[in-house]
Amino acid sequence: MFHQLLDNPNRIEPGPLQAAARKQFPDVVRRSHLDFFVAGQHPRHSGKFVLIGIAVYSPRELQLLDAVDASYPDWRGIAEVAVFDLMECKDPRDVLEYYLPGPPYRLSSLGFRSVPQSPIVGIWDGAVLSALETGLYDTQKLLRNERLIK
Amino acid sequence: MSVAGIGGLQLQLNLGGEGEEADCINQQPPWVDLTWSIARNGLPLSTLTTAGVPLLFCENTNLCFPDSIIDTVYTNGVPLDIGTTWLGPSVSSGEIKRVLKSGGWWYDNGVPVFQKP
Repeated sequence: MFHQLLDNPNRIEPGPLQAAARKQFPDVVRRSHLDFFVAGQHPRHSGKFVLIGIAVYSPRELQLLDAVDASYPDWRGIAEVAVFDLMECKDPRDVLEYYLPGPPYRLSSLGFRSVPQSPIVGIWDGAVLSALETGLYDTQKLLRNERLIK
Repeated sequence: MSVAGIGGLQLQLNLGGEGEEADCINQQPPWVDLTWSIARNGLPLSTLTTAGVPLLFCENTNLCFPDSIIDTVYTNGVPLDIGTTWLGPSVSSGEIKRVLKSGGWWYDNGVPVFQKP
């Protein structure tokens, strides 16, 4: 589903393909088991909340969302998963300010002062940011440990 | 590793490359550093250089190659012509077309999307 946003059977140039994918991304999220996270929104205050920021131009990151969506039966009722398009951010500070709100010491204690790579995955337990990873390899590992992907 | 343009070999460029395409110069933009992790294995980019895989840092919008010198360009999961990302400018298709040789191909995520006339 998500990965189809970048299917390119007509071999069009990637720029227009990526622009169209970004435009369609919110609709695909609405058709999935994931929620669309709006800049400035706050993570929910109870239970487990998982926020995934991806680069919509990356097929592998779209496949990651497909994997999370496919595992819905495993996390239904246990976690709430929301996603956003990192391209909405204009610089690394935007990511922290609008999508990972919270005390800076919390991010520092998790080893982050900025968001260098995509995707990004944050996990909150009862409104406390408990884990944060960036980069495809480390985020896949975190999601696998949390049983959000197989 | 053989990289080309040297001794008549093919000169291949992987923009945003992390060594996933064989026999390429892997370009990264200036804001990337060698501690960043490689998507497929989580190892730092420095492991590429220590393994002898060519890594080149230059602006996405100003590739440091002369016109019409590259045989093949690869782009895999990189932003193209979509303005500025949260880290910096996206890759420019105009630059890709400038550096490609006549007859050279551009492959995006494995799909041949452009051949330079």
